[in-house]
Parts: sequence; C-alpha cells; structure tokens
Amino acid sequence: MAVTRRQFMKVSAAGLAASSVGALGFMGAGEGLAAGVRPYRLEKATETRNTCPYCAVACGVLVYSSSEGTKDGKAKVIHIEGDSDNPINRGTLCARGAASLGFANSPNRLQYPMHRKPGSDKFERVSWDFAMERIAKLAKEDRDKNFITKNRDGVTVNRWLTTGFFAGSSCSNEAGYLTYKAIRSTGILALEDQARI
Amino acid sequence: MVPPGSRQVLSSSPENPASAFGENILGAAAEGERIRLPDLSTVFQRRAARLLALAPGHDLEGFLRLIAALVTVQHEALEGLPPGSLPGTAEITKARLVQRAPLDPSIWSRDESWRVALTRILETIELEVLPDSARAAREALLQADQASLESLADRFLGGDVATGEAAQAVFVAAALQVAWTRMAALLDAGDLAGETESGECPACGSPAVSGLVSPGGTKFGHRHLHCSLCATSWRYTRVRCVHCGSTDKISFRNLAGTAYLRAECCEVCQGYSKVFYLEKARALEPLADDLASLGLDVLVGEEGFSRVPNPFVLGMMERPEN
Repeated sequence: MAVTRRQFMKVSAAGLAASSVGALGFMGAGEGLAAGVRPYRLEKATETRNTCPYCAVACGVLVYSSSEGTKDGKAKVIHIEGDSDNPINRGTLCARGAASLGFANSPNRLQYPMHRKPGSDKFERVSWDFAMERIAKLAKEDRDKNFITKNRDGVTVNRWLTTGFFAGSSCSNEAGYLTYKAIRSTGILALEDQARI
Repeated sequence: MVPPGSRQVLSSSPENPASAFGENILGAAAEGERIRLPDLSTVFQRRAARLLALAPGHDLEGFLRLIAALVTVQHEALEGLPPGSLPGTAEITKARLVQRAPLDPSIWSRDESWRVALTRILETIELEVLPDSARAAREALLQADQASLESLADRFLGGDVATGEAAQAVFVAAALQVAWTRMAALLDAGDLAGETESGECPACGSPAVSGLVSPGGTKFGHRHLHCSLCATSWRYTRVRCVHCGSTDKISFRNLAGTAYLRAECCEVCQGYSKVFYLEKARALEPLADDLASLGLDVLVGEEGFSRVPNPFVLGMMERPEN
C-alpha cells in the first residue's frame, strides 16, 4: 500500500496498526485508541453564512444549527456570531445582531400572518391567501378614493399619497429593484427599502 | 469676533477632512495577518512541549512520546545546519508565473542541509522512547547511502512511500520539516500573498495539517491553516472546504463534550479537516493536537469522510472506496 501525503485517506483502527504508528512499534495502539474513543458520541452541527436581519448595514453572520437534543429531530439554531470573513463587519456584531439567537428562537416570533378583526381584541392565525386578498382589497379601496392624477396646475402626477410601503432592510440589489418598480408603479411615494443607501 | 485668518478655516473645509486632520478612516480597520511565517526559535519547542503535555495517559502515549523526542531533536538540529540556499527574486517570480509556491518541492531543488538535519536527528534522539522497530528504522537510515536517502526523500515529498518504509519516512519527514521550516522562516511574507485563497501552503505548496480559529469578538476570529511541512500558516475562509473549496453542504462533527475541536466535513468531496478553536483551549499546537486527536479521525472515518494525512502517520490509512 503506497500512500501520498496529499491523497485522501480514511483513518481506522486497523489502518493505524498498518501505519507508521504500527511500523514504529506501537502495534496495538490503534485498537486501544479506537476502543477509548468508542464511548463518545459524535455530535453534528452545521454553520451557515447569512445576513443579519436587522438593519441596512447587512452584516455577515454565521448561524450554527444542530438537531442534537431537539424532540422532533429538526435542526435548531444554537448560536449566531459575526462572520470574520465578511468584509463589512469583520466578525463583529452590534448588540442587537449579537442577540439575534433570541430572536430566531423566540416563542413570540411571528411565523405566519395574523389578523385582528375590526372590533376584536385578539389576533387570529389566517392563511396567506386571506392576508394577501385583504391587503389588496383595502389598498385598492384606498387608492381608488385618494389617487391624484393631476395637480392644481393641471400637470399629470399620478400620486397615491395616503399609503406608504415599508420593505426589507437586507434586500439584495435585485429585490430592491423589484420593490421600487412594483411599488412606484402604483403611485406610492412613501417607499422605504434597502435601495435608498 | 473671529481671530484673523480663522474665517477662512471656518468657512472652507479641506477637501477630505479625514485625511487633512491626519486620520485615515477608510480601510484602516484592524485586520489579522494573511500569512504567518514560522518562528524558528519557538516552533519545534512549543510543539514538543505540547506533545509531552498531551502524552500522559493517552492511548497513543508511547507514540506521542516518540514524536515529542523527535521534535525536541528537530529543534536542536536547527542549530548547526550548513548555510542553505533560498529562492531569490527571480525564482519567486518564476514560481508565481507557473502558479506554484516558491518552495514547492516539485520546482525547488533542496540542498544537502536536510541530510545534515537527518543525521543530527538520528544521532541525538533519545533511544529509550524508541521501540525495537523504530530503532531498526533508525539503524537502517544511519547505514543508508546518500543516493537512497535522496530517493526516499523524493518519494516522501512526491507522495509514494511504500508500507515497508513507513517507519523510516517518519525520520525523513522530520528532517525535511527542519530544512523547509528554516527556509520558510527566511522568506518575506509579502512575496507569498497570492490573489486567490488556497488550501495549499503559500510557501511550499504542501497540504495543511489542521486549522486554528483565533478568538472572535474584539479579535479577528479568522481561521489559519497550518502547513504540514514548513509550519507556515495562512488565512482561509471559515466554513469552506479546505480540499475542494466548496461552501455548500459543510457540516461539523465533534466528540460530545469537546468544544475546542471539530472536523469540518464536506459532503461534496467527502473530505474533512480539523478545526481547533483557540477560544476554548488556549494551549493548542496544530500538529501536536492533530496527532493527539486521532480518535476523532477514527469516528469521522467511520462516517465515510477522508482526510489528508499528518506527515507522522503516513501510510496508515485505508484508501477511500473510489
């Protein structure tokens, strides 16, 4: 068996005995090592690069997740830290970003659309279809009522000033472009998204 | 009232206020070194001390003590080496043109100083820690002529060591480490910084033995890979496969209860490399701790992942099925 110092090799107890460890005279050491490590369980975790959700600086974060110890076997976020290799934040995070583990795992985190009916005092879970339709209907009503086509000098302006739009802070260039095109086409002027910086 | 001359200062600002006041804010953020060359006065001593600290009670105690004795005489062999040769500006430029590291064994022809180091290592190593077969390998190397030693070194560096030579290859690897570490220490780190990040040593093109992540927070938190041959370390993006450069499907495996060491496994190439976290255990040495944590390799190997071997455990591992 010829091996190279560059080639991929798999380590095993039998392999250790046939190795330079064995060749130097430590024949049983491989089995001893394997037996010694056997009682230990191997824990598995993943690290994923992502972008901090809070502000428009869009710091790089490393999100650690693992399914160890979760009841349903689904992976859970266990740690979040600044990405040292990110040129923007170079491993640092502000107090909010550093605490985003609590945000990711918070029991109060909004995970689906909620609706508080007129006159009701509590939110109820609704479907995405219901939420989209409700928003579209109310927006249309408001736009039809308040849309301004011409200003007082008779110049065409096509403004819709009674509604504003608040988009994401960590949008990509493309998402920023689409947001601007879609929302400006309705006549909304009060538009806020990542593309402003 | 404004003093004479002040009106102008107050009304017209300098073109770039920051630079005009002796500050340069842009690009002045703290940054860790990209390449760290080995420190000859401490590199082998620290490694030997770490091996001796790890040995007591370890399943591989005898082996670790042997390597500790070997590393101790590596340090002693550094003194009294003949003046060697180093790549000059022309060689470094040429190496860059062919996209190789200047001390890559395939383009840099070594001088005889490694054989001087080998003789010193063999003559001065503590004999009590050597089992019979290690002594036999030592004897064989002491008897060997120059041509066969050079050929053995070529086979080690080129990566073609037969099983029968595994014990001798350990001593040869140690002597070559001495020669290459001395050369690397005398290079200029500025000559080595390439444009692209690589999993291979920027000084000698050898694979890394393991990676160390420095403490994060106010420090830099970068990973530095450590060369298996010349002890140079260089920065490499975290959560990126050392072997194939992939950033997809990276997962980490560690022994339950140990936080200072994880195997970074890549599902794309089925390779892994060890990552040590200095924050969790401050006394770490990349090569010594790699040897002392071979138990993790056994378990990770059972999960189907492969690694590039440590130069002192060469010839030991099953080939992966492919």
